[in-house]
Amino acid sequence: MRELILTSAPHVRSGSQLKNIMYDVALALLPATVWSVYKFGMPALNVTLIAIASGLAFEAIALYMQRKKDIVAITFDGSAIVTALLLALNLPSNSPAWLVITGSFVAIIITKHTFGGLGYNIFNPALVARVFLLISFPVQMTKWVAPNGFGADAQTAATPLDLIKTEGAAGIEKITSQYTNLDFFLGNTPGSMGEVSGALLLLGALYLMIRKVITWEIPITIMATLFAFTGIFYLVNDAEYASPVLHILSGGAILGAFFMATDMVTSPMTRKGMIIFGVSIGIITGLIRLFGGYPEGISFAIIIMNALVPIIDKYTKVKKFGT
Amino acid sequence: MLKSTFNLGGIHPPENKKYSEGKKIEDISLPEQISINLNQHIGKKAKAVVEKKQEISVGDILGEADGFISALVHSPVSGTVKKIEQKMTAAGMVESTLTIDVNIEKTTEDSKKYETKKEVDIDQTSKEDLLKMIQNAGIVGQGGATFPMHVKLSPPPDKKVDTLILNGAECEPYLTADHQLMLENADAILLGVRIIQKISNVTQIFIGIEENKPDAIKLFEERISAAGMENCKVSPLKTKYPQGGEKQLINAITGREVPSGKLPFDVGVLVQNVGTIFAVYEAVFYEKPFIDRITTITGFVKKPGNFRIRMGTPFAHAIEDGAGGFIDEERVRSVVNGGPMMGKSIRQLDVSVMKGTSGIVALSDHEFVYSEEGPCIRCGRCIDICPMGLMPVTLADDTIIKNGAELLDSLDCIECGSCSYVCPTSRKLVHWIKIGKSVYRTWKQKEESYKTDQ
Repeated sequence: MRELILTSAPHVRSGSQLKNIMYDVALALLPATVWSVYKFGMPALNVTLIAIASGLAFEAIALYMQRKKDIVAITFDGSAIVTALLLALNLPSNSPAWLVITGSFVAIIITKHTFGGLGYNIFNPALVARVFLLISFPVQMTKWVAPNGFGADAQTAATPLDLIKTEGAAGIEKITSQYTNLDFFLGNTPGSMGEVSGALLLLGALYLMIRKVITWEIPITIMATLFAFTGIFYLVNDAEYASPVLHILSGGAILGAFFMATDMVTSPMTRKGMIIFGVSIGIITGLIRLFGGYPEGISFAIIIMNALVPIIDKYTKVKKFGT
Repeated sequence: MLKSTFNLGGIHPPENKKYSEGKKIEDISLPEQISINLNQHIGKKAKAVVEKKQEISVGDILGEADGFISALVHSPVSGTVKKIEQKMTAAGMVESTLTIDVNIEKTTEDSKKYETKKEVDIDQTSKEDLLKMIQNAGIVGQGGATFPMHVKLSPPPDKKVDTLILNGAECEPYLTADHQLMLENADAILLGVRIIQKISNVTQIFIGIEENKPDAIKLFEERISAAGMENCKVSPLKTKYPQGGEKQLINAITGREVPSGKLPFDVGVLVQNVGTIFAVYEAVFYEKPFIDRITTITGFVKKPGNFRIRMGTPFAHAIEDGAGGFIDEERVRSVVNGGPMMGKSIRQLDVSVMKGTSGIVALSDHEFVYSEEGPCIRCGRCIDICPMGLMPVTLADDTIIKNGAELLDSLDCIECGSCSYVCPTSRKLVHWIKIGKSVYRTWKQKEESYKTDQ
């Protein structure tokens, strides 16, 4: 007989594993990724593959430098792939390879591993990479391509939110004459790879909710707050401000609310905290979009709130039994 | 049928009760040697009153209770004390342990005195006498905490207890001992209830049974009405772990919440495990001390089942003789004393059955998967499922980074293990919290000794 293994209770486990969670998220992102490749053509596929390859490579290098055991197992635990997919969805489809690789470096090495690796990063890696690229390479990061379908010639165009920011009331008129709300939802507007497939992102998010990987608190409160916030201004002056429906369907709102803000590592742990987190992101996003210098604000909003998570956690303890 | 359950958290581990469910309670044969340790209960350990080479017979006292919160230890066999030594127990502690060579014939002969039922009129017997009988039988809680029964039945005079809850939830996966005991001894258990009722003056009695035992629920409903016990009711409970936790059970059935740091009698409730009540019945009607118990031997064994087993029987003998041995010795990874959620795994099969051994569960390489602790990914699942409304991840981290004074919150943990069960990165959350508790208690003790020094 082999020696018995002495462990502390419990001696059985649910079998829920990090790997399953991460690959569930990757699976949920897949329809949107495939759709954007269909819409934007080969360049989008290149961006996705380069992001995944460089993400995995940087992960392995970081683990090697930390003298970790099981480098292969940890590299493929799914977290690096999820970060890479999210980064790809945040980039313009015609991004050059060096831009994608720089993004991967910022995400995996700087944002994730210098803080201690999985579980210890304060900010969402993919988002920090996006913001870093946006500030450092504004030209490349705002050259959006119109989604004309696979094989079509690339045509650059401004995103709806760009138009609103730069042209104000005239921009809104241009948008409403050119697109219907359904176009926003189905992704017939120019934008980053992940901004153009709202319907499929929601499908993925629904899958994650059924699999209990994410809960409703963060995404729904972000969407509701953003809707309410922009709705108030729309009611006051509907020529100057775009409709709330346009706001929640355009830009990175869906991607950000359902996939970036819900990142477990960088969001609050309690339900109460999640609601505070979501409401704050909604308000900050609205403020930046309507009054800030950038057309899209959800990345900044999530990063700002990421920094406040420890404080939110501290003041949103759950109610103890018997108190 | 209205099913009650507790308010916060809870998990649904695979029940795995099918192996031993419905198996008749069988006796396990006498081993040639048993070992009895003197610390089988919470409180002060018993003091040995026998010597090496002394002849003893069934029911003799081996250990005297040392103080009020302590319990007698009786000899389950007749034979000779071979040695008294420090030995590892099934609970994982090194305790003074008596090894006894068993005289099998004499034990069988001597045990016959516990087979004749005495005429006892509960109504005519005084409270004090009944309590004395329980104390003299060395009965401790069988649910797992092994709290001496007579102490639990003597709350401070300013606490009024009005409700008795009989714990037949048996929410631990794999275990079926309580279930089978309820099926085979319903009337005896109800007589036991009447004894407790007489002692503690409760006005209402609930029998909490999880809905995965519909036959037991039905049987008890029948027997209660047959016995005409008007203030006694069966409370069907949702099947959810840890439904049988004392505080959860009280919450599910009465809606009362035991305040943090308080005990059940602070909300007027007394909770007793069905096995304990059966032992009370045997102590009163058969004058039998607490020398054997019903235990489930299950999991990766050839013949899983429910067994009446004498204290001190080595696990190896129990598994071999009762359950027919392991299915494949090479594949056994872990053997647990108790249920798989809260029980303690053992190192070697030479440890013996104790008063708290509710089950012996063998886990194969398929059921038991050991994985190293990973990093916390802050998913918050442990917070969602904690039945005490705690934040297990924070408590575990506190144990690692904070000092004794700041670990007070960990005392609220009931150690059910749900947090470790759900953790996707296999963190040993409940393990760290248990360490935190003892760090806090040590700090507290020191703090108080400083105060008395000054």
